Amino acid sequence: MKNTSVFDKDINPVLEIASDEDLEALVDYVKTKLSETLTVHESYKLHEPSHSEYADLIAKEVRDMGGNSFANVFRGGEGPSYHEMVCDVAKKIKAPFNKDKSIEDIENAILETILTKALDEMSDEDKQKLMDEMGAKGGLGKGGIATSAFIAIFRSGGFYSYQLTLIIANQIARLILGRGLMLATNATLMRTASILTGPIGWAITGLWTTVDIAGPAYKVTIPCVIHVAMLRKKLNALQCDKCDAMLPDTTMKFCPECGNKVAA
Amino acid sequence: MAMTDAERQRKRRAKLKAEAKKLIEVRGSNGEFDERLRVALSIRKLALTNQLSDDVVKLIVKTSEDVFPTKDLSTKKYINKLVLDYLTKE
Repeated sequence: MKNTSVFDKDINPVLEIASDEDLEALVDYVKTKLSETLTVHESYKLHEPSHSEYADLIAKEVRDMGGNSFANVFRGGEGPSYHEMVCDVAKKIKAPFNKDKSIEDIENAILETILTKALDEMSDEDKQKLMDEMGAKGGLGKGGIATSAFIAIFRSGGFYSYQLTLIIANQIARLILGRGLMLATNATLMRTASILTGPIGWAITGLWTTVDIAGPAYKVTIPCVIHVAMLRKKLNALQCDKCDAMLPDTTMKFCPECGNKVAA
Repeated sequence: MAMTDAERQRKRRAKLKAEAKKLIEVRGSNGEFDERLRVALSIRKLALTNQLSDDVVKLIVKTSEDVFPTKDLSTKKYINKLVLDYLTKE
């Protein structure tokens, strides 16, 4: 916290350890709103595009976007808590959630809802293609892969859950910013995120249209919440000490990207 | 009497705020008689004047991750960054 004393335990830790590339999309989402105050801040003018220098300001800005400007004044000049903001998004996209659960659980409920809608739109071939790109080993039944299989993979957490989240975040970036995410991550991971732009894209566009009509505030908060959820998953996954590449599972002995020996 | 929606929301906001910002009571108006603050500031002074080896600084940083136990990897990384900055940057 260098630029503001406003702190939220659910968003600040994630943003403050994220890289400049990770924060790029978040800054762009915030900049799409006319009422943003990030770009007029001294620190932004001084350090942009080193977004990590003012990650606390980005967190504050994201929270401010989640509340009514006048209501924020009565909250002591800050937006609603990030937890409250995520609950609002969950409510908006009709995700089943319990507000007393942890932020990660609520974020997962949001992502699961989007994923289910997207998978329901996909054909069996597309699902098979997605499964192959995710690195599924062994033969799978010819009867097609049920949506619940992907949901089970998503719920199991870790690398594969992050992969699915990245696909969603990437599609939303394409919709809002007109380009995909530019993350310095494994090449295979980004390839997986860019495939199937069709079916998943259509499902997200459909979801987006209903949200878009309902209110402009969600145009920023939904992408931000999904992006932060993606970053949280990324930062919670195992990483190579040398090149920071993500490790698909805990049984790996060497990093697939740089060959560095992975600590047991 | 049942709480109104506004009261319930105000209560929840206060609860979340309290969770995010916990006050640390210290001894003395500026913490001048508090042993915890003195230990922290002494270690920082030693680290910044290169009287502590890199290994010791690394050990302190690593230990700080679990002083308040957490399973959350991102929180650990955040604490690591915060403490490392505190011990290595003026």
